[in-house]
Amino acid sequence: MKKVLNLLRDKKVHYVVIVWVLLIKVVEIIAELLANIELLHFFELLGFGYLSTTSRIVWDALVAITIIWLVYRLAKDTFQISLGIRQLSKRALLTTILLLVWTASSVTAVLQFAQALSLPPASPQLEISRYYAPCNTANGGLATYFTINDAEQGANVTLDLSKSVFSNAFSSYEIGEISMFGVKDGGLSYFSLKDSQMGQKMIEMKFFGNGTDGLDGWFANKIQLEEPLKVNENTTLILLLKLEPSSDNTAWTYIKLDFLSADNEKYSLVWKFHDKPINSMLYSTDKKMKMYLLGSSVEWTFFQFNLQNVFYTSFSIHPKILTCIEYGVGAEADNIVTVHFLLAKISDCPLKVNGELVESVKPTLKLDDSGILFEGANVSRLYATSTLKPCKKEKHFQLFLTKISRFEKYEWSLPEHHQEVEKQIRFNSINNSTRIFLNGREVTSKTRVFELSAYESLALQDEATLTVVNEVDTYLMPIISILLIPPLALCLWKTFKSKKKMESAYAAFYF
Amino acid sequence: MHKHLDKFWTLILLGLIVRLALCFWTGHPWDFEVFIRVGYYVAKGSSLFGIYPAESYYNEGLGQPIFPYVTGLGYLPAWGLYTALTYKIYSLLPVSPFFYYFLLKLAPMLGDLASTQLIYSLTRIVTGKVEKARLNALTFFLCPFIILVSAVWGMFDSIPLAFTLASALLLLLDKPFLSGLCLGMGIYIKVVPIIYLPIHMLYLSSKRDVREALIHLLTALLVPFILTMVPLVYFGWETSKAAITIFSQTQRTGEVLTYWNLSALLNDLFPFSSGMLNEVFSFPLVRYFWVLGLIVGYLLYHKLQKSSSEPQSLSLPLKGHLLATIGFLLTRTFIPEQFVLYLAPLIIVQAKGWRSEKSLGWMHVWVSALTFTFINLYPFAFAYLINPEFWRTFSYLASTKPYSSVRYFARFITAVLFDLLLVKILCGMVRSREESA
Repeated sequence: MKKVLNLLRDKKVHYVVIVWVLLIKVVEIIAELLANIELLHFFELLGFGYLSTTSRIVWDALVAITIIWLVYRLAKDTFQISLGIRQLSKRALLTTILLLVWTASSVTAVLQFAQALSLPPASPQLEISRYYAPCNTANGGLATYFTINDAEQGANVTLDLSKSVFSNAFSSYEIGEISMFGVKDGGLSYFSLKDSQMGQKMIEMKFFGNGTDGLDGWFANKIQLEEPLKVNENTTLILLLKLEPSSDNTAWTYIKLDFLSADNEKYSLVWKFHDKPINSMLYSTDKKMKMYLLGSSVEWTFFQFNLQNVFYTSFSIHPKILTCIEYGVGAEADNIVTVHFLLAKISDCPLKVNGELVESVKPTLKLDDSGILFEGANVSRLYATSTLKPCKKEKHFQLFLTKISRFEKYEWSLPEHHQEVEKQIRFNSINNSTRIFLNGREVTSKTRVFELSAYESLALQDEATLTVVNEVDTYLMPIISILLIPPLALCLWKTFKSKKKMESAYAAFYF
Repeated sequence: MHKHLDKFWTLILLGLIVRLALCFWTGHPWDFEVFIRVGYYVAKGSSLFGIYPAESYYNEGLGQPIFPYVTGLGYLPAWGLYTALTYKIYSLLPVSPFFYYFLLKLAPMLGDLASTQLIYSLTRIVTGKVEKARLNALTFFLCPFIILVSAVWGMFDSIPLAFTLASALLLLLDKPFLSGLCLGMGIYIKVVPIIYLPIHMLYLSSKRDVREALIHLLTALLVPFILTMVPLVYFGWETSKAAITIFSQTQRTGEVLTYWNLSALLNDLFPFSSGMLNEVFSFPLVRYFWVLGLIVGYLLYHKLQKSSSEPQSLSLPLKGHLLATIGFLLTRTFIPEQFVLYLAPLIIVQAKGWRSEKSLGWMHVWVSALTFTFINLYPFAFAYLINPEFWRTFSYLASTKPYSSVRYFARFITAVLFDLLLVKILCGMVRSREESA
């Protein structure tokens, strides 16, 4: 124990710990700076962007203490300045306190400057969204080709499947065998095919509970396929759905597929989507049904599953045919839950865009030319958003007595047909004090803290100008300046006094 | 073992036979399954780094469907390219997948053999005794833990280890450029050997001059950089994804063979406080604690080098390696069991006598590491390639209370014991330095 204590008092140990902490801080600053460069975003992995506010405060305080500790150690080891209070005269004590306050203020100010310098840029992007009609279709309607006019070559284009219109989006949607439990009478729970406001066909399914708390209710529609579907290595279940959340996180919807294996044994796969976060799987007791529980499907969510792979992974045998599809929705019976399916299709090939497997509701792709090839589903109207980078960027700082301001100005030239399209500007909003000016007019938003904010640009015409102003307060700057005045004045007064003394001495000597 | 040293080659052959007998039907259920699938996908033209963090699905007939999908590799491209090559070879031949598994483990087993030869050579240089060199080589090659990692688990750390030992040997033979080349190859295969670079620099600066130390540094860093960039450019793989894959390794919170696995135990006991625990275990000072461990290791080596009666002592760089390895193992929050391999030759080569305290130290180290490995993953689970039920049984036990809590507790205790052994070895080294000073 004594050895450990001696070790902790050793000044070399102090220096090692100081170097270690400062090295981590340097890594953090460098990582943050590099992460702002477009091709080096991955450096953010080395930083601490994930820290909560409390951890961030603790970490910054630790760094500040380490810097003060370093100053103290250097003062002690290099200039033999000791801070033993008993040895200090009143004047020395006052000077030391002034020095400490000045050091703390300077360190804080330096950190504030560093913060202003290292604030991530707004990096705004102008998004132009519009509907596209297919140029041609092939492969029995399963391959569709679109041309995107607005996007530059090599630019990113984001598709929104939830706003696109599909033909033949459902493998089966007629009313079959209905079962229900815990529902209110009067046909309030139903399964039907509807049109959305955007002209999309969608399955709407509603569970209207009878109001009993703690009772699990459901509404289901089971459709026996008149002609069973053969399952091959490419057969894919494609789903695009949205579940309304319940008040008590008990809502769910499912799609259940019944198969026959080569020896005519019945097996079932169930995908059950909840409104709460969940990621799990269950087997039935006879191991002939496997249920995948997936969560947080309260926004439009896209899934596709290779049926043969999932089946083999679940039961270690191959499926032969698909015989039955069942849709279900439910929750605790004191809820009313609605689910919409925009896609519920068993396709002979997975949904691909330009040869890439689609993995989300808003897939992003880089355009090599202006064409987009859709495979796996027939799209009759495609909603796509292309991104325009600013054609002009400017950045400058302004220093004031108690604040530093950073101005970023971005300009775009808008493409033709801009009257027909929806336009938005997305950018990194820095903090609450960030001010944003669009074409000279200040705009406000509720969701600007550490989130991407979007502003509909009503005023945008041939060109758009965005100015982002970030301000960092430096209240301690005056304190630093004021604290410097007494020692300076003292020094000047002493010099003046000694000069006067010298002059009097010379005068006495000569006269 | 020293009674049987005259049967040196027979014992080496025995070690090889044991490895061959175990290799083709065993594997770590996660790591080996990743290797199998990555080999398949990369051989079929997928990007080695495109797989991460996306999913690589099970392919019928290869491995087992115990996970619907697995993530990609977190290494530079060397190992991923090797797995693809082995799949290509396998796919050309009308043979069983067990041949593919054998090919995947062939390189690690050859790594064992190469490391054994290098331990033999290093011991001969350091001690000048053939018998001792043979004993040390056999101590390594026949060690059950070493056999487990390469031939059963399928982990390839013996390859970078062989390159690291070759680098140390070439350093002793006054060939700094070739030594840097070998260390660079080691870093290319697995980044861990980079921790030895400052030791080599300090040694070369003292023994030769700063210029040669800088050439060594540049060689050791340029080799992995160039060899990484070549496939990235040639195959058009995304550089940013490669960097994300590798950088993600720095984010691991407390797990596996370290006292930091307390994180997993507390998470199991108090699941409601997992958010707070994650905050603590990913705090900057905890996440980068290993930087402090390495700084201390390098400073201790610097002191050792300065106070050494023979400044150009042959065992100096090996002692430096040992200090850096222990500093790293004692402070990093994520220590996979295979990292113990980097300790093995360093402790073995420096053992003074037939039954010295240090050679006994290595036995304690590998026994505790093996015990931990079998608590972390019950031995039968390594046979998952034969029957996936082995994995499912383990998975049930590992995730069902109270078995899971008992497992986490036993893991923590064994890891603490292992770390205490490392502290004991470190204290022994510091004490012997003080005594010699």
